Amino acid sequence: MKLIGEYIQKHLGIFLLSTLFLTMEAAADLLQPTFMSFIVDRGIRNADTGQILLYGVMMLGIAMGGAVCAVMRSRFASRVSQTVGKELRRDLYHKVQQLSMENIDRLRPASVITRITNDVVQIQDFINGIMRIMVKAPITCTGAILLILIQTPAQAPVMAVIILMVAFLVVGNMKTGYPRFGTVQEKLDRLNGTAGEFLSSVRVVKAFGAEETEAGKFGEASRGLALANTTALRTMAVFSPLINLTVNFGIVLLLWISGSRQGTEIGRLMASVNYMTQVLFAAGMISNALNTAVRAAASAGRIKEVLDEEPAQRLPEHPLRPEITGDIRFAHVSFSYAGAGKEALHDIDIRIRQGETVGIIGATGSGKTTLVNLVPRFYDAVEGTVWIDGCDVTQMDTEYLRGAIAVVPQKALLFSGTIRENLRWGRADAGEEELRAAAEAACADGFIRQTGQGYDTLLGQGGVNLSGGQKQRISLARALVRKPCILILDDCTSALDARTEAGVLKGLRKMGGGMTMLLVSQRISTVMRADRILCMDDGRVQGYGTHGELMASCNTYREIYQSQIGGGGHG
Amino acid sequence: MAEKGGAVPPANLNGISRPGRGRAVVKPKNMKGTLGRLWRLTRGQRKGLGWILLLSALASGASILSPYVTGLAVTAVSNGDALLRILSCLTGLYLCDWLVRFLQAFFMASIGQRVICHIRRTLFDRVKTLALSFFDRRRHGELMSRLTNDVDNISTTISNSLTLLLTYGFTVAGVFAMMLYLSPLLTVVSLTGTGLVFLLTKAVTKRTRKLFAGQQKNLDALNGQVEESIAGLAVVKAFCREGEMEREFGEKNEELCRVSIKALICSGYLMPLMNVINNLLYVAVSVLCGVLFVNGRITDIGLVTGFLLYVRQFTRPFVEIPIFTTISRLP
Repeated sequence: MKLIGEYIQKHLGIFLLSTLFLTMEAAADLLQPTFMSFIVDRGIRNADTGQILLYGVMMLGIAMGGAVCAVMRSRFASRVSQTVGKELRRDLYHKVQQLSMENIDRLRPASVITRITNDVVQIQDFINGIMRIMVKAPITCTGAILLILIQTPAQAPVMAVIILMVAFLVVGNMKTGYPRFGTVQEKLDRLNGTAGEFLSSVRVVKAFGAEETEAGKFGEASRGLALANTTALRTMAVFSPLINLTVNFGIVLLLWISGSRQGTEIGRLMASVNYMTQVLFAAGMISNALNTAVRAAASAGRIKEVLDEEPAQRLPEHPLRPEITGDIRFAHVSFSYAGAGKEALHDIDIRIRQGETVGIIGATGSGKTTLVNLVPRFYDAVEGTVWIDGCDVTQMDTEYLRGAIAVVPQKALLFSGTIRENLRWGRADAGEEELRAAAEAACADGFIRQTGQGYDTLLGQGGVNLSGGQKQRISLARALVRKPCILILDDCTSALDARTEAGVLKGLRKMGGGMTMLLVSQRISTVMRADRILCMDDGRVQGYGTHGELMASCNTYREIYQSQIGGGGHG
Repeated sequence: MAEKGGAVPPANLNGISRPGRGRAVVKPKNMKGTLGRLWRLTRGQRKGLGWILLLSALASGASILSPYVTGLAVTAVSNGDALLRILSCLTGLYLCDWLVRFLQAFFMASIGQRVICHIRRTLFDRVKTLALSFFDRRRHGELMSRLTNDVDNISTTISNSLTLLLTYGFTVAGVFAMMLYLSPLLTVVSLTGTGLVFLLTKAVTKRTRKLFAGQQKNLDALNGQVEESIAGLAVVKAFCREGEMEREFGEKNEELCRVSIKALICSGYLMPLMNVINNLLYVAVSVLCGVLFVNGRITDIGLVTGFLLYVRQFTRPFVEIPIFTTISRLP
């Protein structure tokens, strides 16, 4: 909640202005019944048409004044709430761009997205509503009570009792409602989670025919939410009508007391009844405001979590920019993911020479991707150092370092925009010829030309959808456009058939040009022809050498070879 | 005299009073057809709806009768008559009102949730059988929002619109009858005012709906950019595109803010404008009442009281119905 206060403080002037108009608006609302009573008591009673008209006009004037104030208030409140929302989003996004992969892993990407989109909206709604509900309702409530007491002092004891009862009910509503709505939020999160899981792994679900199981899970989460909602709503069902009833009783009592006194002015009586109703309305609003407040507080907490997050990677004080040629050395590097029990990499000590093509092979979970992720400093080694051209990566300027490296991830991630724009991610100033050359080397030029508008084809939502293999090739072309010193291919030919893969590898070799290539794959056929092969298992190096050397000396490698290519071979 | 009966704003089925304004709502292309499909979706889950309808009808009873009885009470007070009988009548009325409201809310809670749960699961069952190409073509976030948010909105439609329409329908009919009974002349005056309010509401909501649709579009664009850039954060970092991403984001963010402010300000005109017209009507009726009373045409101050209460009751539905009948985007 403090977070919201901080952001509002930046616009305190407008906020206070808005509150001022709100107060005037509330005052206008409160005056109306009084003038109504004047019309009755001074006009109708005394059969004075002039008075009636006078007060009528004044009442109208006040109503219009109130309307103007309401419009002004709405202007300012809207400006504050939306601007705060804008700033929150901006700050969150900026922070996220600064955080490292480890931070994002911990916060979970989906959750981060929700915080920037959904949680900010909650806070916006809250600020917008804060005026009407949290400020106007109390003002109206107290004002109405005061006016009742002023107009008909005899009602004071009755009023006191009624107020106390209503307050008691409102508090009771809040107290019982609070935990129940918390539960609703939890169940909602779970439902979102189940739906999200299904959607992100839909292929797997279909492959295993697990649709029924998923439907079962979803059904359960849905039922859980329905139950929580029902409980929460039933709580409200108890309290709200009771509040109604209490105030109505108040009206009956007022009438009773007036009846037993002589010379009551009807106008005042009417006004008092009116004010009671306003109190009722205000009380109802306050207790309903609970829901908005609870959600806003929860959202503020989640946003603060992101903003408070310390970047896991420390940037060097004096970033270095040595010349990068592509010489990589892992010096006794160990690494484990935050929160993981096991080490993902253990004592990796290898050297990759400039211009070499190194194939990296191993079973799933052997640490291949983890290893290559340390090169562009997506993660930092827990023990040991990664040296590139004699310089510790953690001491290098990160942008400079990544400028010399190109990564082709396992899952091809393209962004909305034309193919050409996606390719230009590699290098913004790449010329048309360079784009084409890279696409050809990646065996992508062919199908690009046949797709929609060729290089101007729009990808993403509302655009063309490419097959997995096509996306991988564009992803590869994007990396090649960069003309990197180090090219990291993380199992990115998995969606390609053998022939296309061979074509791609040939294209890569042609491009060569002294580029160091790290070729991660599960297929032994892919890595076999590399200069040297690194065989990994369980986070450790099992063997490092040429194909021949490994077949002779590395059991793990031999096993992989035999299971994939089959019998025979060397003795 | 201000509103009585139904003064506590209805909560939607998720227990969250979402303000009708400030939320982008888009009318579906084929309202009748979509509503029809919605209705068919609830097949097999309609048990208990009959009771809800009955209770909604009864709930309007208090709104119709209490101003009249209050008026009688006021008359009795001014004439110094015995109040006891009238007041006990009023008390009884209020107690019934409480009971009806409680039962209505209580049952609506479980019945409504049951219907939503059913719709959700039906949707999921359908979705899970769809071909993979369906999932490829759509964004993850969009599908999620269909399954969770949009079903929420449907629940709002069902609970709020249905019960309110019913209650208000009965209320308007009953109040109109009472008003005619009390004074045909004043009723005619009120009708003109009410008509004005109704037309004005329609005009303003039309404008705000357009603006909110624009806001939703901007919001979608921004959310899309956020999703993409965060889901693909590794690639963004690998290609050093953080700056570019922030720039793109900044543009969309500014635009969203601008459009949102405009939409909210426009919708902020609605209530005050209506209040003014309401008050104008109120003043007109009061003045007319006063003049008539002075001229001896009306002798009953309680009638004045009652009638003014009715006027307020009468105009409320015409204001709230246009707001609530904007149904949100449906799949």
